[in-house]
Amino acid sequence: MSVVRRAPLLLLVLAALACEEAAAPDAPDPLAVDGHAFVAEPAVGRAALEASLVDPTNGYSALRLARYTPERWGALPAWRPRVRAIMVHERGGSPPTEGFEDWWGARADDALPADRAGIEALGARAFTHFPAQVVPALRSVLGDAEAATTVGLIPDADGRLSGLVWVEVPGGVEPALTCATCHSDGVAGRPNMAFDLGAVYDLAAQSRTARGRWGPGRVDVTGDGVDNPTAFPDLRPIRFQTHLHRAATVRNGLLPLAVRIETLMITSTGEAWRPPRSVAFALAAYLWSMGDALPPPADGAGRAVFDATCARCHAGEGLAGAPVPIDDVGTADAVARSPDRGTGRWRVPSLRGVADRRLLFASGGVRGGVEELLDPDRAAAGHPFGLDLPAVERRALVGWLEGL
Amino acid sequence: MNTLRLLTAGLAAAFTLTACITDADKGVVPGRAPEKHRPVAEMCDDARDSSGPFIDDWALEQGDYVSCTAHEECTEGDNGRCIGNGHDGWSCSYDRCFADDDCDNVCECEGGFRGDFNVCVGGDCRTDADCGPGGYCSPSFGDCGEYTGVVAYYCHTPDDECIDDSDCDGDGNFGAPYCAYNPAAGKWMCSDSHCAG
Ligand code: HEC
Ligand code: HEC
Repeated sequence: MSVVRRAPLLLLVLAALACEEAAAPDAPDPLAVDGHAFVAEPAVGRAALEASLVDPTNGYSALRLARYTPERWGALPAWRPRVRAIMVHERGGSPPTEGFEDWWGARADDALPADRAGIEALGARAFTHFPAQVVPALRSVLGDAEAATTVGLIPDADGRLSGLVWVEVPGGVEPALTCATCHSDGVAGRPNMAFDLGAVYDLAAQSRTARGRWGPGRVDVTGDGVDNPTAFPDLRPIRFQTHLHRAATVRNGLLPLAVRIETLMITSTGEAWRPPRSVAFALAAYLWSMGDALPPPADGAGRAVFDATCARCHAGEGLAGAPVPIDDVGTADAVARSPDRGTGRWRVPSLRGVADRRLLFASGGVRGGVEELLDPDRAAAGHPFGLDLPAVERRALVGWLEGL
Repeated sequence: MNTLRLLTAGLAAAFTLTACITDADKGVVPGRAPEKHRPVAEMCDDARDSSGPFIDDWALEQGDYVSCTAHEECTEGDNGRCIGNGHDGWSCSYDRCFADDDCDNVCECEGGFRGDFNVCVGGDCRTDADCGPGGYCSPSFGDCGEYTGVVAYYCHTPDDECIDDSDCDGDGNFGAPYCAYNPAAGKWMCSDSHCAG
């Protein structure tokens, strides 16, 4: 990809952004402009990657810098598999042979809907239907209704089983996780605290392994040789996060998020496929829109306590903030110290939406939400902030947090 | 055992491997038998180590980390043993099978995680004969890496990108890739994949 070839496109993007700043009434939606640039020109994603990695030397970054190129991962075939949602009533049955949906039509790799609403709708569809990881081990729990329940595969409103899909792969049909399997408990974006992927693997292996001790709501996502399972994060406030990942691996932004999702989906197929770029971007746009539904922080007595006790870290509109040294927080830190994703700092997570988030901290060490977080007798170590507040102030603070 | 291996390899080399891989990048020698494959189904024995368990005192204080303390407590299956280590904790383990017919697919002798117990594993073949004339049925690691060892047996096909680990040196930077069946791709590929997230 020569500079000459990509220059006109970048100019176009810049021009479009300039238009947006001038707020012309018929200016194109910047989100759509970003999206069309991203799907049309691999250099746009590459530039976003390079600008967003906090520590280019950790495993996550080094792998991407080496392989997120048009010649390497860009040359992988785009995956548009036919899928079929796994329904609750199918627990205990054998894999289906028909009923697969081809929801891609004949669309080209870079065909992205023209406007924001269309893009977000594609993202929402992909969130619950695109295979994020093919997991043959699921067969052993799908064959057994009781085991499916034990590992936290739960019915959703449509009668589906935790967003699972059957996916057609060359030579057969396999069960797969979608984003929704880990990242939805019925409310899209909110973690499925019940899902226990480690138990799925242990049941399939008929063995007890360290994965069996991840427990529900956690998975070890790094191949760094360290035992550091991470709690499924809440994706609803994603656009308020300063960084992606607990360990603050990536500076956040819509395009870095699209690259993060695209590269995750490549590594989770063992580098056999890449998602169509339109799907990667649409997922990012969809996640970006989730923040709209979260209530803005209110005023009141609790707010004052928060400002005095917490706001030096959790600040601004997102109640998030610049990453802080790991030792300043003192929580279980194996995730932050990952050789794969670590940067030497913790991200300060956004507290938007924290009211109905039960699973807190990267380790998932708090499972009872803010009430437990601010209980001086809680078991989870670290993050001592607010634990010594007088009872009245603590109640005010908890009340305020529960309005978020 | 070694003689048997040599003999199998020799016999295999006499066949023309259906998988004739030409991608020079991958350095695959066409017509070679995979290092590991299953010419015949084996019966597994029912012998198990009955020493131990040797559980550290500190481990006993870790709650559900230790779910048994003696072999005699493991009575819910065949040849129960309380096994474990400081990393995985201690729990009961059992021989889940002794022959393929006890399983949907293959009974992997002593294939249990860090233990000498037999377990059922999946895949699409039991022996080489299931993979067509001159075909090979090989053990593969799972989609989250070599963590739990062999999880399934799959046929090799002409689409494969590797025959065995010797085709997968990797580029030295990112783990030690191995040749595994990639269930998303439906073929054997060099892999250093890990869990989604
Ligand atoms: C097996 C469960 C699982 C699946 C499936 C999964 N994720 Fe995640 N996801 C996680 C975990 C665990 C993390 C936390 C990783 C970290 O902080 O380093 C995560 C982190 C993320 C993040 C960063 C969140 C943050 O707060 O920084 C995004 C964005 C994300 N996932 C999107 C997706 C999308 C999109 C899909 C579907 C293509 C998906 N995930 C599939 C478990 C999963
Ligand atoms: C020194 C900076 C700092 C201060 C001060 C601070 N926090 Fe945090 N907070 C963090 C960091 C870093 C984390 C992530 C820790 C982890 O994941 O282990 C965190 C995590 C949290 C979480 C869990 C979010 C999640 O989704 O996992 C909540 C809730 C929270 N803080 C609330 C508060 C409140 C309330 C206060 C004031 C009483 C406060 N914090 C003060 C840095 C800070």
